[in-house]
Amino acid sequence: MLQVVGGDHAAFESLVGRYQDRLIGFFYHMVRDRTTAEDMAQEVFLRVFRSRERYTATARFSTWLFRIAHNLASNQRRGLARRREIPLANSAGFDDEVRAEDQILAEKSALMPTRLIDSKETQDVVREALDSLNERQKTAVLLHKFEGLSYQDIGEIMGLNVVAVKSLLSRARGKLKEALERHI
Amino acid sequence: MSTSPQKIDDDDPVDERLTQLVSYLDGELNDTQMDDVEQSLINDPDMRSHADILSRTWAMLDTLGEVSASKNFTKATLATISIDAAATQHHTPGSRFNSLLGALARYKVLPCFLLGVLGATAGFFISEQAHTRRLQRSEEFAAEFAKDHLVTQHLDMLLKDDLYRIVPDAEALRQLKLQVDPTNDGKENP
Repeated sequence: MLQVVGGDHAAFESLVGRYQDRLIGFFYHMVRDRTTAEDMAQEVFLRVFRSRERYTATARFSTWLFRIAHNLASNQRRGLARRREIPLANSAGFDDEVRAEDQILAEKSALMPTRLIDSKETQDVVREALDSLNERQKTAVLLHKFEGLSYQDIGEIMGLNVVAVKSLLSRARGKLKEALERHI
Repeated sequence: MSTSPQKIDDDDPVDERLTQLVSYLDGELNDTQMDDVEQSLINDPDMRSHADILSRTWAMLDTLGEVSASKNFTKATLATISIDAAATQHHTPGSRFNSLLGALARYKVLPCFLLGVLGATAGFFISEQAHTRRLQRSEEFAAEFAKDHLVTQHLDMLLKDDLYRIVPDAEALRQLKLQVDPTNDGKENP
């Protein structure tokens, strides 16, 4: 990142290459739409480039990057909630695309007597469980599970202290347990 | 980051044991807290079962898999950024000044520069004071020296104290009948 600050465009390209999948994954799990996720990731890189001169080496780059991503996701969510143009993952309109967990299970029960659900179905169930979390819980889970960030880093990204992150993740894990334990 | 307690929007009450257990599974506890949780896990089968389910449901999130960027994402992103950068450069007349300010802030040059200016000003005033004091001292010394020099110049005469002893006062001199100097054209010495 310091090379990018110094005006090295090749370094910025390598930075995009290194973090693009992580960012797109983060947004995809948030909005469940690939195009929107890519647009949001692109917007994050644009913001990183615009504010590169404000970056100080005291903060870890990934923390700084995901703080921008979290702010963008929160703003977008607020904006969308006001305009109600594109429903997000756990908004009411998303039900057409993603079937309810019980519906999936009922269908599969009829088709498969052994009641074994394959990996696609497991994915659907897990997605439903993830979507049952509120935005903050979901963000904390995604940052911890998929980015491997510590409570401290998550706190810095979300503007919370470590105790608050602990509570947030505890509640989230409790909810996930409730939603998923019968599928273990 | 702030360490003060913050409000969580969630309505559910926090179960302290669950919180500690989750933090334990996430490797976020210190040694003492870890010992406490491990002790509970040894003694409480329900807690063991709870921890097991938590771990397994957490592991289920792995089924979501990783998401990769589309093929032209990098190119498209870099192109968008180049266009944006060019547009920003074109529309911002003070961009050079802003980037200079940015560089100053980034490298902490501004505080160093201000400190340097302050230090130089203080140094200038101190040296100015010292110079003035030195000048005053030189003048005093010169005056002293001039006085001393006058004394030195007339030292021979001043040392002739026998003259004062011989000539006690002006009246005595008048009474003295000094010999007339033949080169003085008959005029008496004063």
